[in-house]
Amino acid sequence: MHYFNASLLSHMLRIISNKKIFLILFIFISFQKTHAWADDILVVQSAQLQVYNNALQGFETIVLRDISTRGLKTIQPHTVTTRILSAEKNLQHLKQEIARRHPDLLLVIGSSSLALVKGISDIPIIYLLAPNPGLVAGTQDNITGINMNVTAKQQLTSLIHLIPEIKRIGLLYNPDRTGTLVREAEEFAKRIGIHLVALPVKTSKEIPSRLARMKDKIDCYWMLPDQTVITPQTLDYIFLFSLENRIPVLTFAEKYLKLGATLSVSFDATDMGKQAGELALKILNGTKVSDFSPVQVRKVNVRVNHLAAKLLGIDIMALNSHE
Amino acid sequence: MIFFRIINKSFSAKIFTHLSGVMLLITLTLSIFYLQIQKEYLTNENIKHGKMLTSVLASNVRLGMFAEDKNKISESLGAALSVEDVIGVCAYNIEGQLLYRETKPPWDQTEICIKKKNATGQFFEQLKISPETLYLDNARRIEFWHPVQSASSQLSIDYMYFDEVNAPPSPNDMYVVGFVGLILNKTYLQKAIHEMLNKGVLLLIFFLGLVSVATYFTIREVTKPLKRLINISMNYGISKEAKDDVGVLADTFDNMIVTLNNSFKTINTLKTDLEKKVEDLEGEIQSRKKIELALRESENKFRSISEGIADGVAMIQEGKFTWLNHSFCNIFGYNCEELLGRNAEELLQPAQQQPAGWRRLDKISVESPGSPNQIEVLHKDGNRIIIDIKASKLIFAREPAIELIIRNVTERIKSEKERKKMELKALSLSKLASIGEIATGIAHEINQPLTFVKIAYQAALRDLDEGRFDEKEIRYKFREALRQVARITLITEHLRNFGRKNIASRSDLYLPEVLDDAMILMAERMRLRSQVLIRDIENDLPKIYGNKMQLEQVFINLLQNSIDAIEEVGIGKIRVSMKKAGDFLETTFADNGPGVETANEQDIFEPFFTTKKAEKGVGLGLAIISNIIKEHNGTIEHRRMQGWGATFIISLPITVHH
Repeated sequence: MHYFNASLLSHMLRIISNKKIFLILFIFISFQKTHAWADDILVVQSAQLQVYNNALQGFETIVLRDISTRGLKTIQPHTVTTRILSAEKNLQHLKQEIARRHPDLLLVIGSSSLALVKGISDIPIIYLLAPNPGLVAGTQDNITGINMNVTAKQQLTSLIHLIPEIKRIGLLYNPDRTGTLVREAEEFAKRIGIHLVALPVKTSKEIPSRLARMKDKIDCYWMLPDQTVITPQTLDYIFLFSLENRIPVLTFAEKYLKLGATLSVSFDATDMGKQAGELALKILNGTKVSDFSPVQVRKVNVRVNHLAAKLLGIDIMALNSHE
Repeated sequence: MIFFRIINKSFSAKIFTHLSGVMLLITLTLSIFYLQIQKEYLTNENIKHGKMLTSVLASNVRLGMFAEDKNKISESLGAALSVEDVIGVCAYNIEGQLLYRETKPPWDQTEICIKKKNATGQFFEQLKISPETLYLDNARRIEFWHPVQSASSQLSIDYMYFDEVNAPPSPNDMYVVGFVGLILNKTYLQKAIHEMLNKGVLLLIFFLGLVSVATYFTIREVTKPLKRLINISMNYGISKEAKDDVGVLADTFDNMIVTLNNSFKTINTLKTDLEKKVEDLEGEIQSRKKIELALRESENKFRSISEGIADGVAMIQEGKFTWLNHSFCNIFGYNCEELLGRNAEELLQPAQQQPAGWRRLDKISVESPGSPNQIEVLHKDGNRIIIDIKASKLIFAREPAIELIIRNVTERIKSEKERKKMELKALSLSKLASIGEIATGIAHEINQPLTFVKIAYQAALRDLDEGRFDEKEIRYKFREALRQVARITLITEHLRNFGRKNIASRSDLYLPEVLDDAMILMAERMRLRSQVLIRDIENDLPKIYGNKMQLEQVFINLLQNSIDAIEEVGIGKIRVSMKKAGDFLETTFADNGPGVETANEQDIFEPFFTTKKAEKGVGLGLAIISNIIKEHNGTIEHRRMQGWGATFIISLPITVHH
């Protein structure tokens, strides 16, 4: 909100005695004192992380570039205010403050932020970088966002593109968690002539024995974002298994490259931010949130752990990001 | 015994033994301390090593334990057996079920990791909550136990994608999945301790040997001066009874202390003397200062007095006048400014030849200090003046000087000469007067032999005329007449000599002979007046040196005075005695006349003083006598003697021939 300084105003009034000018100024000041037509966007970010910042940056480049179609365009663009959740002392207060402020749009980055705004139904909410939004926020009409999970198709395409020799791909999954993804993958694999060795597990304890069973039966292990399969212990096992049997590991997040994964096919955070920005503009321009189902990430980044590739004796040709 | 004797006798050996003993003690203590620390250290290291190994095993085996994969467990734990002192490893799952057990031969598997079920349960419960490795120590081995922990089996969904979303699993999120046991053989530890002990002992022996050699040489070097000292002490025999070297030194030291005490006493005495001398010296300095002050005052006084007197006073330093009074300058007719700084010898250049010795003023002062000498010098106007000069050596203005005191005696000398002339004239007159007085006596003296000659000639002529010619008798009468003529000749000759001016020189005289000569002229006169001369003269009287005529006149005058004095006395007596009195010949003239009146006694030697009648004398007799006696360096005095009138005693120095 912007208010004109009263003492400055009276000073100006003394200087300007012309009635016409006074009338014009009166109209101008009246506009300033009311709500702007440009939109107020509040961003709630879970933590001060590079990946979140990148996403926010992407969002802002789209939103702030846009000039409002209402009001005095040159004077008032959209405003983006950011609050970092990890820096807040009292989350309940923040939630109350959001309700009081009632911004035109809420952008929430990360699962924690999404969990915080769950229940706010009168403000359009766009989420970003929330791995399982359904689980966190359920289904609300005013919530939409960008799904960060790279599709099986995207991942397998990238893998085959880079290592065409791969014919057999092994994966472990908990059918309760990633059964859908596996089914999609199996369909796509069948189409491109890849043999998928997918073994279901119920507990993480089963991982070592299941992995041992895959030995000599696969050319690559595909790590899925499955909480049963990915635990601190199983990660050790998986990478140990990879190293011992010279089997490359395809993963869904760049962080696993450091631990020993060979290849990652993951979302591009900045582009995701831009996608959110575009979505936001549409919503601010009047489209109902309920008209948008969550959008799939459109750009993926493919990264290679050269050291791991070298240790495994794999020749990876193109390393450029693949859309 | 010999060893102990050497130790007792030699100081070096004693020090060496003591030092070596102390070193041994210190080294042993330190070694034991060190070995103990080392032992503890080794044990601790062994435990640390075991703990570390166990914790590493627990970490390695966590995946195998997580999956309870025996092969995996075996792979993780089996490697530990390659470590030298590890004799066995074992693993239990969280339920206490044995998953793996392996030992190194010859150890039997059944020997290790055996726990009764209950006990095992309790132990594992304890181990579960233990933050670190537990160990059980027994005689042959040490067992280490560590819980195998695993992180929480589920990650948050965000953490699956992003590293930093949440903190990585904290220890609180860890949970125990099993237990790992490691058994270490203690034999290795004990062996290491023994090895260390052996090395320590060897090092100790080596160190002690090295230290002993170093100590020996150090002591030998250090005690060299001591030995030299002891040898000196022994050679000087200061101590022979001492039991050892130090005893010798102690004896020497005692001796030194005694000597030192004596020296101190001497020093104290000297100090006291010195202090006394210093006091004396200070006193002397004070008195000298006083003297100096007095001297200055005296000098000032001297100057003022000197300025006030008629005598000339001058100071000569280094041959030049440095101070003069006005009288001095006046005597020479100069201004004082003209004389100051002028050469003294030049001014005092005698006007004519002077006896040797005058020229040297310093000689004057040395040979006859303060005695006046007379010299003739030139006045500024060219006239000769006679001065009495006295010279003495003294210190003037702190420098050696010759003080000259002069007096102009020119006028006095002139008047004295005049007086002398007058006196001589008076003497001649006196002599003539005496002759006049004695003429009657002399005439009678001559008359008697003349009468005899006359009678002899008359008798001879008568005999010749009568023809009686007795040749023998005539010869006798003529010879007798000639003898009488000779007597007359003697008298006249004597009279002639006496009347002559007295210039005869001095000679050695026999004084009674002088009296005899005087009596030639006086005897007849006395006889006529019936006066007698009593001679009381010692035999063998020594001679005197003098003028015979002058002394004869002395006797004549005295005799004449006595004759005149006793004229009115019945029988006049004159007594002349002569005797030796020390270095003098004492002659006493006494008569039995009325003597000298007391009132006149003082004036009797004054010229022209007389109590006689005018025709009898002019009053020069005794004055002349007095002068003559003085010239002969003798004395004359008047005394009163019982029974006698005027008595005069004359003392004349006896001739001394060197």
